[in-house]
Amino acid sequence: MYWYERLVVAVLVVAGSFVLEGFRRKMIARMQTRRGPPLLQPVYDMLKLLEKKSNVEVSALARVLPVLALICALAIALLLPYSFLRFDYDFVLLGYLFALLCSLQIGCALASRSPLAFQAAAREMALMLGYLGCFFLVILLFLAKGNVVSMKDYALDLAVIQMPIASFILLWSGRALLRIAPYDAVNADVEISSGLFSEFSGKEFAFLEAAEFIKNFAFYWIASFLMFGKYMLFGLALLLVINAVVQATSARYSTKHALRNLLLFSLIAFVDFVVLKFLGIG
Amino acid sequence: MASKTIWPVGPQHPAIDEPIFLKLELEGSTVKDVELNLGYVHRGIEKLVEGKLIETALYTVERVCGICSHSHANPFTEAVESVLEIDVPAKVKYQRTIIGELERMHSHLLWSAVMMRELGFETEFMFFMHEREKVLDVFEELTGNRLFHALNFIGTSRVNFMRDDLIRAEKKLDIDVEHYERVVKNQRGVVERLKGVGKISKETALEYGLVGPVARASGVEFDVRKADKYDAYGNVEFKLVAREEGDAYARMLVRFHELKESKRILEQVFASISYDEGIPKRSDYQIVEGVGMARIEAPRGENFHFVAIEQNKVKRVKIRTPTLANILMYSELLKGADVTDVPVIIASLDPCFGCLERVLVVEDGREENLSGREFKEKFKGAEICTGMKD
Repeated sequence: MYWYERLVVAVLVVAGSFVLEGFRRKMIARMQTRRGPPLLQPVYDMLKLLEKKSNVEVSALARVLPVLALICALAIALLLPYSFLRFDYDFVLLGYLFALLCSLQIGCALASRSPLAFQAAAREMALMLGYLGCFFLVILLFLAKGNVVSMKDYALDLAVIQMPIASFILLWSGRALLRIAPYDAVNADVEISSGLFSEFSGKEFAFLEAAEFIKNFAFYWIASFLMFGKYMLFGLALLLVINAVVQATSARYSTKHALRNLLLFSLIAFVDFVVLKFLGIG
Repeated sequence: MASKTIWPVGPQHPAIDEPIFLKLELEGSTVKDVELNLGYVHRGIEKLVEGKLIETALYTVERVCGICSHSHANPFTEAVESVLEIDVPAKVKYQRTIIGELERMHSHLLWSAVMMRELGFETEFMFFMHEREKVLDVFEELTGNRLFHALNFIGTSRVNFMRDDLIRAEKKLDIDVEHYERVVKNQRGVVERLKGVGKISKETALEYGLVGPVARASGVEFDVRKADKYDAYGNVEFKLVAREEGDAYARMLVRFHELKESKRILEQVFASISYDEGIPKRSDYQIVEGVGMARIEAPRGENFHFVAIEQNKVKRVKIRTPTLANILMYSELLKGADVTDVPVIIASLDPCFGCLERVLVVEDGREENLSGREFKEKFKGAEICTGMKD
């Protein structure tokens, strides 16, 4: 893949992430009998935030980390597997970037020196113990099922039917990565304001929000790629709808309850992996 | 060993709808100590009404709270009527009962919405607010206003409800409480966040003198409507439900039950109110000197008004709101709780800080109204009922 092709695709991914966020907000609003914001509201918000100055004194680190988070998210956008284009990088690098992005977001919270953000960071660190391992295990399950070692060789179509348990766990644990109900303890606004980003405003907040949208889009892309293969665009829409419905109809789990669930899913995924890899069942 | 941190909650906080400042001392994520600071919405209503004519004072007292405005106007009116020894006609009593129960429904629906929001269940928050709008529409239809109804005059009502008004009102009140109760009970996230959280035993509830749904959820079977049978409550059948668990979940279930009972009461009142009987015209009265008191069951519990009148003017009014009775529980409940449960515990007690802000002088009994700062300076070191420490 040429560098300019990859750049074009990355730009499309970034644009798509904003539109996806707009669709998500609209869908949830409709389920709540509201009209909801315009589809391009995330874009309008971003443009507005970029022209504003930060009104809170934050440290130099808190000014740098949001930029790094955005760069990390853009790197993820560059490395996403596209079923109709060659994907040159191994999943390990992609997984590393996801973990790095979450760590940078935690770093932003800690650098902001806000007690509310500290609480959010503590919650995020606790949940990462659950969802990151679960997420990677499940992806390995899909790769094992496809009998490949790298995502560039992955060619299963409709693996969602062949691997319902793994698909369910990927979707469910992904909600912790996406920070949506019922795993939105990190963003519990009634408890800790905006959570990790409660002290950020202006450009820094814009960068962090953009990184969050790209990360969310990347998750949907990877999940639909793994579960639906060449039908991934249909799968992406389906997963978005399912997650919106679950988000609209769920209350928030406490951090303890969420972590318990995620660790249980990790255990199930591990057992499934062992059964598949070593016993050849599934 | 976990480090200690001070966690400020308020005076502006997403979890709290009205300003209050809670200084939580945390060890790790457990609350070790709580300092409660009030005074942000103290408006000096008791001082404001001193020297005012009764009708003017009634107008002011109704504005103690927006959610339970009639729950303040009613005991004030009844306290004055007790001085005049007036027994209002049945129609007036029934009308006061209608507005009182509608207010209870409104308050509990609003509470349910707020609680769902505290638990991150935004959709249910929206739906409860949607249902609340039906009650507010009925208020507007019957009294002309959504919140401050101004229904009461001394000895009579401002409005005479006619048959068509109440038929329309009854049609609008098609709120399926059972459905919402089922939805909430089937939500694992809700049940898990509420069960076992903020437990108050019956003994503690009696010791602290708790009132309202908070007390009933801890097994204290007391309701002023049953005890005093004021207004039309002597003529209607309704169940008083108390639960034993005493946790936030029990408090939620008690409020859902009260919503259902309010609907039952309204059905009975709508069926038995007389339309042939009119309401008396406003008449002049003269009170040279007199003292009256009355209590009613507001949505949050027993609301008590004491009124001293001289030459038709209010000499003193003392309001003991249900939140004032329950406020001491906040500090005790939050100690030992996890910090994530703090908004849930506060919300489950359904505080109304606008109602709560009263000055209580307990040391030497002199009648004085002081600002928060003057009070602290004057009574430095004294144990005071608001829970403030010095």
